[in-house]
Amino acid sequence: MVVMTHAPAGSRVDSPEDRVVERALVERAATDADAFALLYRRHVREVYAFAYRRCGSREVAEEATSAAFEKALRAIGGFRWRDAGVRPWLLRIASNEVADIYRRRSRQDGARGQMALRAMAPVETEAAETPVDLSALHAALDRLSERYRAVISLRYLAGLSPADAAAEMECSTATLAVVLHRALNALRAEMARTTDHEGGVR
Amino acid sequence: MNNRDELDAALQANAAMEVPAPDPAFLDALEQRLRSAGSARVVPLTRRARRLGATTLVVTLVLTGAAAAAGLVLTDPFGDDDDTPGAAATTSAVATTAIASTAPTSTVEEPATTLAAVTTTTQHVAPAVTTTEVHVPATFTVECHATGSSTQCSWGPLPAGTTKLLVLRGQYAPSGPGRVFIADIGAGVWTDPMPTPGVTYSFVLRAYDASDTDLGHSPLVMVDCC
Repeated sequence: MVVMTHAPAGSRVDSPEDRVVERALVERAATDADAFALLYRRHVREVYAFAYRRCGSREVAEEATSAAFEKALRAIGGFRWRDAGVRPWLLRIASNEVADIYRRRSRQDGARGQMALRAMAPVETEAAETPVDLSALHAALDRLSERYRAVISLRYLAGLSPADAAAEMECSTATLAVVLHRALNALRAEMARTTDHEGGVR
Repeated sequence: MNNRDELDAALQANAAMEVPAPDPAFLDALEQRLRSAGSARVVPLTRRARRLGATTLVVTLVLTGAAAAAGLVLTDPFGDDDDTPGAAATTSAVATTAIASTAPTSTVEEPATTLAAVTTTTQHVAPAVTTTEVHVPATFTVECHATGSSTQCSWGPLPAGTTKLLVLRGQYAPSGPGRVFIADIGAGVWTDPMPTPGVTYSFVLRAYDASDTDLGHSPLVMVDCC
């Protein structure tokens, strides 16, 4: 199996030059299919990898990636440029999409369908010997508020810097630290509730 | 889970999770879908707009679906929006192109176009709601073509006051980082000094005046090099 252990080249806005080019693409993307296609190619692999880490399921990661870019296409004209480029924004949309997918399936299939979906999702870690229940982590993340889910996802799954995450969350880094602290407490409580009442799987 | 170490371990394991490479067929199919969706949503709607003290332009706003007639709402071109409670994120979507039609007077003003904002509400889109206004002078065109060993770009009349012209080169296939070059305005043509054969590039020109004010950019063109 071919695996990606880190973001593919070209998916991050690394240099001032690259930022200038990406900004031009963003400004054109609302009206120019080629410009949006360039943005898509620059970021799709990282969005997919992020979505996969949010759920551990290839199927859900593809669905979330697809939905994220479709919604980004509709909203790109309203995107406000930030130095980190469009990447944090795309990742945040993808994070919400993962949560929405599970929420929709929960409505459609009930808890049993949810459990089946989670159980189908193979969670592979580099430290396979570590007994970490990532399905419980993913399920708990999905139950957090959008703000809490976003701050944890951006900092811990996407690996954004505090400054970039704060820019995406539209707050100061000091506020981000407070929100992150509260979000982690909420996540810990959700995971404890999951473990206590539902056996590790939502 | 009440133990801080356990949560830290879970988050670290999650971040280190190996990710299978996405299916190339999926990536290609999604790109095609996005391209067709981007084209399909373009439905012309005319609206009169007056720019500050300038000639009245007839602006064609491009919105989606019948609801666009109201000028306020973008419909879902994919038809898959739902109303999942608790996850709604109010945001704006701007999917408009403003195309300048003929200005009836022969003033010295350039026929400029502006991306106009229409606020709407969609579901589940991450918040980012401030509109970017982009000036696209209608006469500011660019043509690029592959030569034997490089790519050459030439341009139409530049916006008035242009003293600096940047060439923004994106890398489409294979995807890669962008580069910025300064073009010699007087030469009227720019040749890519760092081409890589077999790469598909995008080019956008961006004009600035002497005080580095952005005067707008050209359309984007794509070229297979070379």
